[in-house]
Amino acid sequence: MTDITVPAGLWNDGDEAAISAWLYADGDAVSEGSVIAEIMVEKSSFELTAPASGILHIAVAAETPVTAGEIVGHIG
Amino acid sequence: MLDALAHALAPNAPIARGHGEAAIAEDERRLDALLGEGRATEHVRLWTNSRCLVTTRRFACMESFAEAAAASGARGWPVFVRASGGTTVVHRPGILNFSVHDVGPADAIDITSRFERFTRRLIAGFAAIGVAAETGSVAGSYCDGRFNIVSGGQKIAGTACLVRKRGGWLGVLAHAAISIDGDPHADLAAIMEFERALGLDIAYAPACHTTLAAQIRIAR
Repeated sequence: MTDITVPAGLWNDGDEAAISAWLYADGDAVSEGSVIAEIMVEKSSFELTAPASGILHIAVAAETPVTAGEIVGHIG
Repeated sequence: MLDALAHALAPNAPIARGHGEAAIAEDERRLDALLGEGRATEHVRLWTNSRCLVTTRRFACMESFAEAAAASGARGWPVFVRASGGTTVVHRPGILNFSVHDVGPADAIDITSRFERFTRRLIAGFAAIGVAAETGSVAGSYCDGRFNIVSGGQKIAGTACLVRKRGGWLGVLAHAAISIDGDPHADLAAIMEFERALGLDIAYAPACHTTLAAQIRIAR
């Protein structure tokens, strides 16, 4: 299993970030490098890419606040 | 007016007359092309679009999106999806789009300062044609955010940003949709009908919006 981790260092500490949308469903096959979710900080969209190929397992639902370094899913 | 502002924002950039989805997709295509060059670079794009609503991937994932988009299209407002943040906006003749693509090393780019630099550029462009503007949220405006461009207390432009990483490079697309002229009432009606069909409980106020034409009339 490969962790899907919210990247660090892209926005200021204290800015509220949330997964605004998963672009694949739980259980879908994804390819390494494909954009699988977007994280929104105010009106800036940060693309979350798949760190590996495999089956997507979503651990944190859309519209949920997240923090840098947080694990939001797995690919296995 | 559109030409004067365009020249103030980017003197050497032509204004591309776009049509629908292709015009919107060009912003992402350009960002990907610049990321593929593997060097720090900036590109400016001035463009207009045909009449449409442009919404976000978050809204496109909603259960009633297909039906809401079809109904909006039947009313003369086709719906397209963009990758940057925010909510639904209007594109049409009378709205100038200003996009800045900025690529740099992933460990050296500060998103917030890039976005603030983008909005300062917009404000300077307005000042150059005699219109005072500032950034700020406008309660009751559509696609609200603290980096709106505001003139006379009303929203005159919305801004949004997309951040995309490829290898060791980070690309930032910052873009603005600037109301040059036209009828904000009609714009808001189209957005609200679409977003309410998605199941969203929203109410935007026309009084929160202005155009460059209106601000120039006020200034005279």
